[in-house]
Amino acid sequence: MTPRLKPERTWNIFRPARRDRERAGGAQFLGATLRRFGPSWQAAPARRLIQACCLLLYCDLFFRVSWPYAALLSGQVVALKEWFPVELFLWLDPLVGLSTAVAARWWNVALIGTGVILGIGVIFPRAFCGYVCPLGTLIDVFDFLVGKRIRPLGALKTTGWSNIRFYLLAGVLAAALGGVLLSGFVAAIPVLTRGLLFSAGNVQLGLVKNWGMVPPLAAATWLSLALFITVFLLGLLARRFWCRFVCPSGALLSLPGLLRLNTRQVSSDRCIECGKCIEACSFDAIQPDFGTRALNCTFCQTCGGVCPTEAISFVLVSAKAPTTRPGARTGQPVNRRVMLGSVASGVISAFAVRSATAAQRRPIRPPGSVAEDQFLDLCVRCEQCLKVCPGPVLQAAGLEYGFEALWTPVAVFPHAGCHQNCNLCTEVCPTGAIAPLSLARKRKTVMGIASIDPKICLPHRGERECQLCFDECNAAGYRAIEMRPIHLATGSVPEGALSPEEIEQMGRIRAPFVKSDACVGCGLCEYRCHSVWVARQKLLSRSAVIVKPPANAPA
Amino acid sequence: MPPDWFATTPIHWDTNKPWKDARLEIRRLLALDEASVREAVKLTWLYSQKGDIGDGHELPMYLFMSGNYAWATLEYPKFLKRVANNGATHGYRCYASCLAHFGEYKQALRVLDDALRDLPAAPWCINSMAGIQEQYGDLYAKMGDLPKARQHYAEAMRLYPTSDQPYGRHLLARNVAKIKSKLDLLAMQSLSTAKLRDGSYTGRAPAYSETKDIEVTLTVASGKISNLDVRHEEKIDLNATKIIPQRIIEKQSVQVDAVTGATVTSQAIVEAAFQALKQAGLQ
Repeated sequence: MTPRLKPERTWNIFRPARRDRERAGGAQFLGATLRRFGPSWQAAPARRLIQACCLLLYCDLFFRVSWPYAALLSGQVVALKEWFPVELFLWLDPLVGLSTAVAARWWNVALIGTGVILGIGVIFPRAFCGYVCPLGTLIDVFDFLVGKRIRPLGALKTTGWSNIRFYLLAGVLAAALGGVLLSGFVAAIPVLTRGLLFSAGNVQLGLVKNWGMVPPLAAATWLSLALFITVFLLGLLARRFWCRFVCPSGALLSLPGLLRLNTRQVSSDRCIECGKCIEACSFDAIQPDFGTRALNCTFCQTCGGVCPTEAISFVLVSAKAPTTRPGARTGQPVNRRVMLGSVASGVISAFAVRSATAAQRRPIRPPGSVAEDQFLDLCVRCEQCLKVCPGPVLQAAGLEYGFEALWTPVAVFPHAGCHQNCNLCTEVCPTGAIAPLSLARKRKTVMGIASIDPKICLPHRGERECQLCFDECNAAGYRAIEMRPIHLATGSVPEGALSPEEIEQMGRIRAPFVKSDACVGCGLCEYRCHSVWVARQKLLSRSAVIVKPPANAPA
Repeated sequence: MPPDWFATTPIHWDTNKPWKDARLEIRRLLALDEASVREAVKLTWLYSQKGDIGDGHELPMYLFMSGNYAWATLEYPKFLKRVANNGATHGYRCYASCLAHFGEYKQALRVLDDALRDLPAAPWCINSMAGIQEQYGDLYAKMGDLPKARQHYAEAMRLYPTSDQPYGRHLLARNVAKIKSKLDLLAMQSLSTAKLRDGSYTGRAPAYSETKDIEVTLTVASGKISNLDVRHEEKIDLNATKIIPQRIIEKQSVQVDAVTGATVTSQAIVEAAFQALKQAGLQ
């Protein structure tokens, strides 16, 4: 019998030793159970368990902790970060922190997550992809349920694809250098959070609250859902297709692998070249000669679990045995021309997008948002603020504010007003595009300014008495609208038909006026006017009071 | 005809000035203390004796406004006879009020019948009709004939918004709201004494949602409010749709405090519950 590797020098901790797995009794029952889930569960159950826990944690943060209606009930908002920051996984996506810092040319809090996860990446290369990433885990679930049954191109020659993610990463970072943030469109966790918001998040809102609250399915929704579905459908071509070939976050996570402290090693003495490891690997990390493609390997250890001769181990680079299969970085060397091309296209798209955005009208951003230019550089379109917004007031922009603003949060006041007791969106932004505000400060933060159109407003036209906006503003405590008497044009009235009081009152009415120094642009007035007079009574074609972006805000 | 207090009422006004100035002074005085009101009445009387008082509608009107109902009751028939077929609705209505003040309801009803036959021309005709219907309602309510009162109030509420008058259209919705509060008051009065009939009743009221009214289904069991079921599409209700029904059942009354931060929703639930209660206790 060949001697086993000394345990203190290996990282084979995530899978039971073959001897243990074959032991009779409870362990055998456990083995049988794991086998039903599939070979990867049997080979590396601890990894699957960690994946499941991370996915559960992500779902808990997304569906339960980010559910704003319970928090609002207490009358004052409960801090969302009590247990775990809801933006935890967004921080852990290294591309989020790095690209926003480059685009905005300033530090932000997400960089801490980037540093931590890249640091871990030096110890366990790409372990985030194999163990933590909830998008990867969901793709595994899709593969378990659908992909492995109907994979049409199972024998796809994939080596040619393997560097797309590096080209994408280079393009995204080049665009960020040019001052345009594209990472939000393709980074793993923002893609997941956004896709979930528009699918499961809307279903949650519709089922738990009511379907009238679900924002209309507009271009932004369809585009995001299409991308989200594509990410999974790619799994029909090959397992973890997105993670292996496309995901630029994964590409960034591969890079610390160049300095890796630990590595997969295959003992030439033991390997019988059965090919089970190649079959088991989701990440195309094993070469035909059973050596390791180091930048693909996620340290999931499944190959070690399926190896019948225990030829595969995960060891410190310094402790590597002399007789091992040689490795490579990836399936194919990075093509220098393509790489330069993607850098150039990143820079060019940055300039194109910049100049196209300059003339666009400005949207109304959440309270505490940084200046619009910087906002576009910091917002990763994760839609976490949309998820925690009650109403929801915040909805994803389509293409109406230009391509650069696609999927960024915009306050849509005909749908709901920004509640006076809520500052949730300011608490959850992973990159600081929306600065954290206390409730007291949020109530003084100007999002926009209400403006009443006297050509539409019922009292201003003398059509009808109404003070919905005034009542609404007072109830919220802003007191930014006052009712002032105005004179109405009258003419002759037949003698004796009406009382003198009535004739006198015909000539005046109290109409609403905005006090611009007190208005924060919360939109409660606009929502009320729209809801009553436009949507229900159908007396007006649009709300008489409309919140516009603040005039003095930096462009 | 002048009452005895005329002699002791001083005048601070040059009665040689024209009526168009004097009437402004009189309106001013009518809003002040009792001595000024008396001065106003005396001035009106002096101008009517001079014959310089326009079409003369102001003499009975100011008598009515100053509370001299008996005197106004005498003057109105003379005035109305003189301006017959000119649509002087307000005159008829004041006369009917004077008569009602003395409990002459039958006679007041006849005056309103006359008013309906003597309406002003379009576009003021509908407004006058609605006003007369409202006053029918007031009279029947005073006479204790609630079904008739409700019927006339409903007719007035239907008529007001259809008025095609060119000015003062904003007052139409106000008039409707006024009648609605009169109706609610009638309902409240009878609710306190009425025994609620067992069963389920549904009321509606608009709140925030732009898609649906608040709909309250109120269940009465053995004369008590036993359950409130609220159906709604409010976006942010801060649980008012659960708390307000609890408060209503606890207090067995719709006079409950609103939930802070969700006042509109709370009030709409109360309003819808009240609509349902009216069905349970009235008719």
